[in-house]
Parts: sequence; structure tokens; C-alpha cells
Amino acid sequence: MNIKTKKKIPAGYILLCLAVVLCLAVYIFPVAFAAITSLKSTDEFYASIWALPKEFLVSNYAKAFSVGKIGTYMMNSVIISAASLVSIQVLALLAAYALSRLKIPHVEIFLMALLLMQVLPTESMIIPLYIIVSKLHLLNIPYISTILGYVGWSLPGTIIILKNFFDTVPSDLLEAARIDGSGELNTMGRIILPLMKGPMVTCLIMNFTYVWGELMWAQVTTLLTDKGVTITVGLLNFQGQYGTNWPLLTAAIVMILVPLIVIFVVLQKYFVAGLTAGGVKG
Amino acid sequence: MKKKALSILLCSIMAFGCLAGCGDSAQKKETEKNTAETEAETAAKEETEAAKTKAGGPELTLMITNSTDPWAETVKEMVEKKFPDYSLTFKNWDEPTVEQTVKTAFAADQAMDVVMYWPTYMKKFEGTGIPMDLTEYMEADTEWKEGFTDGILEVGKTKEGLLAIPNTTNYPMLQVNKKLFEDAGVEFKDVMTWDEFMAACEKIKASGKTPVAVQQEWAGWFVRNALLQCWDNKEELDSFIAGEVPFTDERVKNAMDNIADMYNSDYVYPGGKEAVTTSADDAMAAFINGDAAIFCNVVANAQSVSEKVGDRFELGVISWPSMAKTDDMNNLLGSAGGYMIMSNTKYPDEAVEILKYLTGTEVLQAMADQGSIVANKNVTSDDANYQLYSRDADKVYPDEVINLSSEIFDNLVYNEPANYLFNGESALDELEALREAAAAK
Amino acid sequence: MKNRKKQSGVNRKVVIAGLFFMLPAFVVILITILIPLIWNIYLSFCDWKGGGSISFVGMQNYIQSFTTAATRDAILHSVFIGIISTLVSVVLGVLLALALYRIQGRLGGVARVIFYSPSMMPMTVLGLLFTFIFAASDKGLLNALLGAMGLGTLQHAWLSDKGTVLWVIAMIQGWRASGTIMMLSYTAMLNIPHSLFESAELEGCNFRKKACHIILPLIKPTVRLALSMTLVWAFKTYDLVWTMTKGGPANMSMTAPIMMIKTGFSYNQYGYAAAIGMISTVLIGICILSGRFILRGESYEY
Repeated sequence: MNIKTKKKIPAGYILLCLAVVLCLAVYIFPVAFAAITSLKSTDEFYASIWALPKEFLVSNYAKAFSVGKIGTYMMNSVIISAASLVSIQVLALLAAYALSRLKIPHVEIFLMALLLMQVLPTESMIIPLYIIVSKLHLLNIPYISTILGYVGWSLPGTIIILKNFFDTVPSDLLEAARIDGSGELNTMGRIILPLMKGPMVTCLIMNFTYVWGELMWAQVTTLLTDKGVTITVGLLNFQGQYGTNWPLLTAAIVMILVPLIVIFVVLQKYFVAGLTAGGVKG
Repeated sequence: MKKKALSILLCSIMAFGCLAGCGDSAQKKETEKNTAETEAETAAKEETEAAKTKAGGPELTLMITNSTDPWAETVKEMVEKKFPDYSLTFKNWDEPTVEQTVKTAFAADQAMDVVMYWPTYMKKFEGTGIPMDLTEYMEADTEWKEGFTDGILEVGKTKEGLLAIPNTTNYPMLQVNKKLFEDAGVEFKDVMTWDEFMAACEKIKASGKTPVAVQQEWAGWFVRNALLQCWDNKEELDSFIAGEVPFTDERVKNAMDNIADMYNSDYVYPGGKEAVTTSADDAMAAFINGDAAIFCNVVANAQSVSEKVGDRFELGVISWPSMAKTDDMNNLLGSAGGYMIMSNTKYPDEAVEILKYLTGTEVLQAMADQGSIVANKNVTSDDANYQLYSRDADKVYPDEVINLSSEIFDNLVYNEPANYLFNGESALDELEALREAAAAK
Repeated sequence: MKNRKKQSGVNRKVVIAGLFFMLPAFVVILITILIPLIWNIYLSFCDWKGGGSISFVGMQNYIQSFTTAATRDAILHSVFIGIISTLVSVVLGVLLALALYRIQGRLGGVARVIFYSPSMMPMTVLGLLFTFIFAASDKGLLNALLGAMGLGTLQHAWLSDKGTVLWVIAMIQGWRASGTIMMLSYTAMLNIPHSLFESAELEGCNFRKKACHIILPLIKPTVRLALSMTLVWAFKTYDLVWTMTKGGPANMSMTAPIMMIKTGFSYNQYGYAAAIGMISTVLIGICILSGRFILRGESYEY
């Protein structure tokens, strides 16, 4: 995007850059705090909460690593995230496309229902859903019940977002394809989806953030088994009766954050790609 | 070119989506079957592995240790070694979620067989039918029963039976920074009355330091201890605990005023009423850094704090200050660590066997060696600290007014003294209304 | 005539295809959300202790919710936090997105990740961090800063004053959600075809004018949607309040979700907890409808 003027850089732009850099300092604070704390000893943490560590202590990472079978946990999390994300994306795309473009009557009511059904806190959904998965005998099968919850709980939000972006695609494009007798799936895949890369990546990142970091449901579904334990359940257990081992916990959190950031950075380029594709007109 | 590749990719995703869409339930069943097969395979593989030690024995899930407990690994290993025929799954005990997970599991009729939970807090399970009544097992095994410290078994008893078995005793105590005491010219005394305590606080405050650091979750101990100490004799205390004395009683009000005084005189870190919101980490940091002279703690955590203090300053241990008019009324709230068994367990006898082992001399000796104050007569320790921390054990009173109802429990444990500090006597009216509601039941 | 018939035939086929497209998502939502929701509705008219039998008690739980001051307060606190944090996150998120849209290149790329990072952090860590920042007296980082700048009079017991504690929580919640809003609005901005800017550029409009007259009106549907979604998410925040204040002191920051979880899991009154949830759902519905009414307007195709 060539928004900036070609020759002279305006003063407003420079000011804006400065403001953004200033904001960055505030925003990076929590991550920096977690990273710095993770390199301290417990003693140092209590001696001065804000200070930099005297020497960088990698042993917290080693310890967080050794607490559990980190490799297995990581693998479980990857499997669960991948399966959940693909299912969410596919199911949400289909439903959002239908709501936006397939002339479903009373769409507004569907949308309101999708929004409102999310109001109840997860905690009050957990008991009934856990009863369901236990009655369906899904608990003994690794991953399935964990994934089912994630997919279901992420779908409403994702559908609403994607529907919103489908709405911006010109409908004459679709009508033309329909008159040509092209099937709906085909139309969607060939004409619409290439315009939707940006929104799809956005949803992917948002859902990945949720699925990768979720704790309560992952813990409940693996209550009685060692199989399918995710990295959050495996790592975020440094909260004891008499306090929390913050250096260890933050080390674990940094380890959980790294894949998120990597994925985000990798997917960055699709934002720009979405832009050029968005210029397609008729 | 690029576009074409992308559309192919998208089409294949769509094809997958179509499959997923065409028959969601059918597909699910299929996955189920597939996973079930792989499941069977892995299970078979595991079985051959397990066959060396466990020949298809009972499968039990234990939630008995937290990764921050110093004895966690030792106890786990001991249990595994003791019961080689059982197939045991150990789950980490996690303070913020344990109650939710246990109750959720029970609602779906899934059982974690042995769960670590405070016998003193079994009120939280009243009416749920979750904890198994262990009375019969206890009565049938005198050797097990007699090993426990006198009276300690009472803490796990409710009108629904013996619901939890204690393994450790725990009660509040104060750890002090002797250097700050000296600087302020306060004489170090093992036991203080409330007035002596307040006088000491005044001197420390005058020396420029904060007298007391207490984390928000534990501020309620001032109230709960006061409510055990402020009565004239045991009969009065017992009738208060039984719900026969109103919370608007003059002595309750006095006790609350004493505590409010302590906050309003800026004795509690970091000063003012706001001190009721001090987080655990802030309170700990204040004490370790020498900003606060007295740290409110529990005996089970004393060792770990003293390790964190290291050689920064000399530590002293004093008893919780007493509002009692006579020595025999210097009671303390007792909390105990311990275990319960979920009543829907498939293997009650095996679970009890494990429980017996966990609360028996062998495991408790190992825990005592790691610094825990355990609830067993036969365990001894030559550790000087062990004697020091456990000296007030006999002051622990087996019952408290918090056991009247879960609402009173919640109010006194989590909401006082904050409510009294901010809202004055209406806090006592609230409690009184809860007491009447409990009495009406 | 014939043509119209064909048209309506196409339409019916399209609607049927649409229903098929929605079916898989519907099945999953049915299992994971709708059945649990119906269960909660049913439970809200019952008494259940989490084990044993469920007994029907009619409207009693609802009556209890409306007559108990603590419950009423908790729900109101949640509505307050919901509205304030939504406003904060939407304003902040859209501004950040505009800034990112203006600043492309390397700085923009780095900023995108970092502006989104609060949304990635677990709530408990944010809670811990902000407890240290907002700690009372001059031990807290914020109070210390104010003191150092000579603004000692502004120092405050942020987390134990009825006037500030809810604001602080709402601000943090809003700040965290701003990352998500930023992503959504930024994506919406990128979807605006460049051709729409051409005439504005010919006229030599500056970025502020373009933002006000082209970008913001075009992304309004996205903003409206983000508004509703953050409202729902903010309303059910639980971890942040729990790590920071546990709903205290003296119930000052008690919110509906904490109240629900307490009445359910601690007092074993699952029916009552469900009733609080139902009341919250209705209230949030009203808030969303009014939010949409304020931001009403048509959507655009590019």
C-alpha cells in the first residue's frame, strides 16, 4: 500500500511514528515483565519485583522443562490446536458464507443468537458439556472431547467475524457465477476465498491464541488420564497452597508464548497479500 | 500462477470441508472408530509394557500432590513402590481449580479416587455427596486410628460423617524480623497478648517500618482467631460455634474493633484500610526486604519462608497474638492438610488402602523430614525448627463458627475484616442475617 | 416471466444449499453450547447441589437474585466493566489500527505483533503484573511514578476504593481486548480496495481526512461487530478480577461470573448460579441491541 507520499515525509507521519513507538513501550511491558521474571531466582523476585536479574538464570526453563513430559505435552497441544483450527475454519467458513450469501431468512436473529449464546461463562458450560462427553464415552478417546469443546466455543465468534467480511464481497460476482451454473462450493472456493485471506488469517490467529492458551477445559477433559494432556495443563501448575512460584510460572508462560508469536510472524505476510487481492473488481 | 496454486489449495480444503460437512455425525463416528482402534493399539502396547509390573490391577486416579510441595516426588514414588499392582495415574493438585474439577468430575460420575483437600474445609462439600464417609473404615482399623495426634481426626468430621483424613496440622503463626524488633526497641517475646502486640506495632511504626504484613487471603485469620478467643469460657464459645449467639454480640463487636484499630493505625502493610488488598507476593516481598517486621504465616509454610529470607536477617517465631481473657481461652484456628475419597470411586477398598498408607507413619515421617508438621503421634523429628513450629499445636480448636453454613464460611474466610473496615457494623448485621438463615434450616 | 421463475428456482436451491452449509457448524454448536445453555435455563428453575436429585423450585432463584443486594451489585458491576472496557478497547483498537494502516513497513510489522501481544498473555499474568502496578501507597509502580513526578496528591489506593477499582479493572480488560479489535479493524481496512482512495488522493486529502471520510465509514460494520463481541467477552471476564481482587475488598469488585462460580462451586447452589447467568444474558442482550442501535447504518460492498 502506497499511502505515504512519495517525496516528502510529512511531519504528521513522523509524529505518528513516535507515538506508535511510545505505545509499543507500554504494550511490550507485560511480555518483558514475564520474560525478565522468568530469568530470576525466587529470592531475586521477592527482593525486587521490578529489577533486572543479576545473572540470567536459565535454570527456570530447564526446570519447567523437566517438570513434565514436555515433548508429549507439546505434541498433544499441536495436535489439538491443528485439528481444532482446521475444523473451526472449515465449519465457520461454510456457515458464514451461508449466512452472508445464501439468502438464509432472518439472518439477524441467527447473529444475535450467536452473540448471546456466548454470554455464559465457560465455567457454567463445563459441567453440562462434561456430562455429555462422558455419556457419549468420548472421554476415553484422547483429544476428541478437548477439541469438541474448543471448536464449539470458537465457532460463534468466528462465524460472526467471517460473515461480516463476506458481506463486503460484491454480490454481482456471485450472481454471475450462479447464472453460469457453478456449484456453491466451487463459487465459494474460487471467487470468494481468495478475497478473504486477511480475515481468515485474523480468525486463525485469534482462535489459535484461545485454543493454545486454554486451561480449564483441557484440564477437565484430561482429569482421569495421562493421555492428551496439553502444554498449558502440564506447565501452568506452579500455583500451590502457599503461593505461586512466579519465576517458574513465567518461564512456562514464555515457553507457551513463543509458538504463538512465531505463528503470528509467519502469518504476517498474508495481511499484505490480502490487500492486493482485495483490489479485484468485477 | 500463484493464484492458481492457491485456489487448488483452497479447493482441497473445501473438499475436506465438504466431507466434514456431508455427514458430521457419521464422520465423527468414523473418527471415533479410528481413534478407538489406534487407542486399542496403543493400549495393547502399553499393556505389554505395564505387564512387567501391573497385571491389569485396579486403575486409580490420585490428585495428592502439588508440584510446589517439597515432598511431592518422594510421596509419589513411595506410593508407586508400595502398590505395584495398581495402575495409578497422578494428577497435579492445583489450588485455584481443585474444587471445580472435583465437583465437575462428580457431576458426570467420573471419580478421582484420592484427592488432597483440607479436612477443615469439608463444609464446601455439604449436601453434594461427593466425599465418602470413612467412619466405618476408621473404626475397623484401630492401629490406623491410634496413630493420629489426639483430637485431630475431629477436624474432618461433619454431620455427614468422617469425610477427610488429616495428614498435616497447620495453624497460623507469626514470623518476625528480629533486627527490626531490636531497632524499634521491642522486646522479643514468644507469646503476646493483643495489647502487647499493638504496643509493639506502635513502636515499630515509630521506628519508620511497617509492623505487619499479611496477604489478603489470610487477613480473615485475625477475625477467626479473635472469634475463638473473645469469649469468657469454653461453654460460651461452643454455643457461639453452634449458632446460638448473635454476631451482634458486644464481644464480637469488640474483637472486630480491635482488628479495625490495627488497620486504621496504619500497622498493616502498606498502610490504611487498603492493606486488606495486599497480594501474597507483595506481603512476602515486604517482609523479605525488611520493610515489614512481622509476617503472618502458617506453620506449613514457615520453612519455605525462612529459606527465602536466608541470611538477610535473623528470624524469630512468635505465637498469634491472643485476645483471650484467660490462658485456657487462647485458642487458634486449625487448618489441616489431608485427603478425601470420592464416593463414586470404583475401588473404595483400594483407595482406602492408599489413604491409610498416605496418613500412616511411613509417609508422614518422610514428610516430616521435609519440614511438614504432621498429624501423627509416632513421627518424631530432631529438627529444632520442627519443635519450634509445632509448639502451638495443642491450642488448635477443633471447630469454628464458619462451619455453620457455606455463606458464613465464605464471608468470614474471604470477606472479613474488609467488610467491617469499609462498611462498619452493617457487616455484622449481614453475618447475623446469615446466622439466622442457617439456624432456620 | 420465465426468467423470474428460473430466478426463484435458483433462490430456493441457494437457500437449501445454505442450510446444508450451516448444518455441521450447527451440530457442533448444538452439542457444545445450546444443550449446555438449555441445561442452564432448566437448572435456573431448580435446586441442585451438584450431586443427587434435581428439584423444581419455580421462580425462586430469580426472585432471590433480584432481592439479594450483593447479587444485584455484582451484575451491575459486570455491566459497568463490560461497557467501559468495550469503549476503551474499541477506541484504542481502532486508533491503533489506523496508525498501523498509515505506517507500513518494518515498524508496522513489529508494531502489529506487539500491539496484539496483550491479547496473547494469560489473564493471570496480566492480573499479577497490574496488582504490582496498582498496589496501594507508594509501593505500587503507578503511585511511585506519580510521586516521582510531584503528583503525590494523585496517589491512590487504586484497588481498594469503590471509586477506582472497577475503573482499573475495566481499563485493563479494555486494554487487553484492544489487540483483538485492532486486528479486526486493521483487517477490515486492508480489505478496502485502493480504488476508493484515488479521488481523495487526487484532491490531495491528508490521512486524517481519508480516515474520517473513507476508512471509518467503511469499517463501521466491523466496529459494530467488534463492539458486540468485546461486550460479551468483557462481561464474562473472570480470571482478571479473580487474580487482582478476588471480588473484594468487601465485594466492591464482585462481578457476575465470580458470583456465579462462587454460588455454584462453593455454595453448591447450581440453580441459583444458573439464574444469575440467565439474567446476565438478558442484560447483555439489551446492551448489545442498544450498542447496535447507536452505531446503526448500512454495510457496503466494495
